[in-house]
Amino acid sequence: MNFDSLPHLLTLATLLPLGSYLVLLFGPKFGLHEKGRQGKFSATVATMAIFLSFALSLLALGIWVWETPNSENAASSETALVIQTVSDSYQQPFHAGNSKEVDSQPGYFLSGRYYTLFQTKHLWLGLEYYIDTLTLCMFCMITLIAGCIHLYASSYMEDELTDNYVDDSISPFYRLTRPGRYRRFFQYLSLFCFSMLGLILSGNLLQSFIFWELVGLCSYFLIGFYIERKKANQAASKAFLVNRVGDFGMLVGLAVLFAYFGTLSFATPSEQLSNPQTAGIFNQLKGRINPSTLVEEPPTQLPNDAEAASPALISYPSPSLPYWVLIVGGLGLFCGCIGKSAQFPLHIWLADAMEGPTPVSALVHSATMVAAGVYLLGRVFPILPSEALLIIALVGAVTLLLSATMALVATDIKRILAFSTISQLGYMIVAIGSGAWLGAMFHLITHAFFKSLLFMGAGATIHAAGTNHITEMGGLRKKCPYTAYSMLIGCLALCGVGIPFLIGFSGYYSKDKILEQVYTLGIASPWTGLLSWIPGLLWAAALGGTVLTGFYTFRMWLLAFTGQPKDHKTCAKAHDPSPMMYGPMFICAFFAITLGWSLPFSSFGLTSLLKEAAPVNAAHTALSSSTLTGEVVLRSSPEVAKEPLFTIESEPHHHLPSVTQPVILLATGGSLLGILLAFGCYYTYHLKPSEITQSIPFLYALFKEQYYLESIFRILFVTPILILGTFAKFVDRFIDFFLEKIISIYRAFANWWELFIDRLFVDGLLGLLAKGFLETGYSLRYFQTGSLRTYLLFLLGTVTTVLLILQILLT
Amino acid sequence: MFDLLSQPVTLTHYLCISAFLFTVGLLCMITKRNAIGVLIGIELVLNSANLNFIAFGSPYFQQSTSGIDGQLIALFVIVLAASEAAVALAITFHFYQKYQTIDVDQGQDLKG
Repeated sequence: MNFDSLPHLLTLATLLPLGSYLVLLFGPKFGLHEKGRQGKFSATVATMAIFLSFALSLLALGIWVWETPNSENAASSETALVIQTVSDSYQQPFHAGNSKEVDSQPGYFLSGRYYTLFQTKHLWLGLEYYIDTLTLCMFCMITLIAGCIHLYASSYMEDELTDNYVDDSISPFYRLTRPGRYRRFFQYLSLFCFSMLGLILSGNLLQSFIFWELVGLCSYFLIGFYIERKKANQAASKAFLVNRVGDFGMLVGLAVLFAYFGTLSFATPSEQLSNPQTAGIFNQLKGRINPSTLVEEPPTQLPNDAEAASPALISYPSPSLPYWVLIVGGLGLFCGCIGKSAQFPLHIWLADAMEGPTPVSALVHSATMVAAGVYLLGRVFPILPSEALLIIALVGAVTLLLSATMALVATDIKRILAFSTISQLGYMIVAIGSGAWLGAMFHLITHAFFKSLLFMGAGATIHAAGTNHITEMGGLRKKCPYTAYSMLIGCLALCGVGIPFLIGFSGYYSKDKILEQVYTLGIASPWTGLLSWIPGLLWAAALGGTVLTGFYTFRMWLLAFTGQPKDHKTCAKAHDPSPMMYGPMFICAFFAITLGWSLPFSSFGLTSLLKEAAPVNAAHTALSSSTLTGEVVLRSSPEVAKEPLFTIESEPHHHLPSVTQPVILLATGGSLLGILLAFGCYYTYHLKPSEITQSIPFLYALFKEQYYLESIFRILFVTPILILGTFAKFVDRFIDFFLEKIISIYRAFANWWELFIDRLFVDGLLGLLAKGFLETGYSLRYFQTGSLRTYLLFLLGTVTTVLLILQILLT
Repeated sequence: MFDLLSQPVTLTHYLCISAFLFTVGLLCMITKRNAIGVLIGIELVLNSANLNFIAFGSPYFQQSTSGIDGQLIALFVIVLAASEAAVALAITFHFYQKYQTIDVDQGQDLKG
C-alpha cells in the first residue's frame, strides 16, 4: 500500500454511497424491498455503505500519514516521484524573513485524471482528483458524521416504516395518510453523501461545480422531504432558488478563470508534470509567484511579452494575466459560497431549511451542504487576491454578528441552532478572509462534529418534549440525562470553552486559531487610509461573536433542560431516545471534546495534518495590482513598489506569544461572559430577560424579525417579480384578445366556406352524380328477374328488334 | 312462298327448314317450364344450326371453296351438344335435389 492506492481508495469511498443509492433506487424492481415495509433493509444498506467509506477514508489517511516522507528522505524516497512536492517551486517561502515561520514540512498533494471527456490541443475536460491532507480529513469527517447520522436516522425515521403514515402537520383540518418513505429517505441521504464526497475529491472546478449542484439538488429533496406540507415545500424551493442566485456568480467566476487560465484544473496531473500544456491553475499562478521566474522575466519585460504574445490569444497559459481576473474569479467563486454556505445576504434559506427531518438538518449543517462553500473557498484559497479576501472577510463579519443576534431571541430550538450555524460559518469566512486558512478548515471540521451532535440532541429533545419551542420545555435534564449532557458537551464546544493555555474543547482550539489571525491582521502591518477601521471591526465582530455565542447557546440549553417543566404531562412521559440514537451522539461528543488535541507526547493532531495542506505562498501575499500595466506583478519588485492600502498576511504556523496570550484570554473570557449572562438570565434569574427586551424594543424586534431581511427581499425581489408577472399576464391577455379576434374571423370564414362551397357545390354535384348512378342501377334491377325463360324472351326480343332496325336502316 | 314448294330442292329450302326448326326450338325453350323441355328446345336450336352448316357446306347447292368445313363443324356441334346435354342433365339433377322439382321458374336466385 502506497500513495498509488490513495486515489483508488478514495474513489471507492466516494462510489459506495452512490452504489447504495442505486441499490435503494432499483432494489424494489428486483425484489429487494423490505418485507411489508417493516424491515430496515434500506437503512442497513445505506449505513453499511457509509461506514465502509469511513473505513476506506481512515485507511487512506493512515497510508498518507505512514507514507509521507520526512523532509530528510524526500529526495531519495521512491514515492516522492509520484507525489508532487509543492515545495520545489510553489510553496517556497517568498520572503526570506518569513522562512523561520514556515514549517520545514513541505505540502504534498496528489493529482491526476480519471477520465477524459474531450481533448483538443489546448483544452482538456474531464474528471480529475486532487488529494491532500485537507481532502483526507474532510473525507474522514464527512463519512464519520454521515455514518453517525445514518445510524441516528435509522431509528429517528422509524415512524415512516408503515404503509399508512399519518401526517397531521399539513393543516389542522386535514390529516394526510400516505405510504411511509423510509427507503426514499436513505436513498437521498446516500446520494447526498456521494455528492459531497465527489465535491471534496474533485480535481477541477468544473467537476466541483457539478457535484456542487448535486449537493444542492439533494438538499432540495431532503428539505422538502415532507413535500405535502406547504412550509417544507416552500423551504425546499427557497433553498434551491437562493442557491441558484449564488451559483450564477460562481458560473461567472468559473467562466472568467477558464477564459484566462484555459483550464479549470487545480494542479497539473502528477503524470504530466513536464507538459506545460496541462498546467493547472495553481501551477500557472505559481509560475508568476515563483522568484526564479522573476529572474528570467523581469517585470519590466512583461509589457513586451504581452505585446509579442497578444495575437496568439489561444496560447495557454495566457501570457498576460490581468489582475482583475483573480478578483472577479475569486469573488465569483465566493458568490457560490455565499449561497451554499448561507452568508449574508443569502443566508435566508438556512433557517427555513429546518422544515426537513432533524437528521437532515444535522447533516446539512455539519458535514455536507454548508461545509461545501467553506471547503471550496479553502481549496481555491491560493488564487484569492487581497481585495477579494477583504470583501470575503467583511461579508463573514456581517453574517457572524447578524445571525448571532437572531439566535439570541429565537425560540425554536432548531432555528437557534440554524442561526448558530450561520454565525459559525461567518467565523470560517472571516477566517478565510483574514488569511487564517488553517483556522477556517480546522473550525469547519470541529464545528461539523459539535453541530451534528447538537442537532441530533435537538431531535431527541423535540421528541421528548413534544414541541420545538424552548420556552415550552424545561426541566428535561432529569428525564433525559444522556441527551442533556451530550448536548452540554456540544454547547461547551460550540462556545469554545477551555482552560486557557492548558486544555479545552475542540471549539476552543479552532476558534482560537481564527481569533489569533484576526487579531494579527491590523497589528502586523497597519492598514492605511480609508480602510484603517476594518481590522478593528473584524476583531470586534469576532470577539463580540464569542459573547453572543456563549449567551444564545446556554440560553437554549438552560431553558430546555433546567428549571421547571412548563407542561408537566409531556414532561412526565419524556425519556431518553433509544441507544441507536444516543450512540451516535456519544461518538460525536467524543470528537467534539478531543478533536483539537494532539496525540500524547507528539505534535501529531488534526492541526498538524491540516497544516500539511495549507497554502503557504498564496496570491494575496505575493501579488499586488499595478494600476499601470494591469498585469500580475510581484509586490516586492522595485519597479512597481507602491505601498498597498492594506495587506493580508498569510497565517503563520505559530503566532507569537504576544498575540496568542491576550487572544486566548479574551476569547475564553468572552464566551464565559456570555455563558454567565445566560446563567444570570435563565438559571439564577438575577437578570430579567423580559425587562431587557422591553428596554430595547427596537433591537428586540429587529432580531426577532431577522432584521426584516425577509420583508426586504420580499419588497425588493419577490414583489417586483410578482408585479412583473401580473403585468406580463395582462400583456398576455391583451395579445390573447387580438389573437382570439383573428381566430374568430378565420373560424367564421371557414364556416361560410364549408357551408356554401364545400357542402352545397362540391358535395351537391358529387351527390347528384352518385344519385344518378344509384337510380340507374335500381331501374336496371327489374330486368334481372332470375327466371331463365324471361332471359330467353328478352334475348329473342332484342335480336328481333336489332334485326328489324337493321332491316329498316339498310333498305 | 308457294313457289318454293313447286321448285326443285335448293339451298333456300334447307334454310327455311332450319329457320323453322330454330323458331320451334326457341319457342320450346321459352314456353316450357320443365327443364327437360328446355333441353329439348336447345337440341332443336343446335340441330337447326347444324342443318345450316351442312347446307352451306354441301357441294350440290353451290360452288364452294370451303371443302368439308361445314361437315366438320357439324360434327363438332354434335359432340358439343352431347357434352352440353350431359352437363345440363347434371345441373337439372342438382336442381331437382335442391328444389324437389325441375320447374325452371322455381329457381330465381339470380333475381337482382
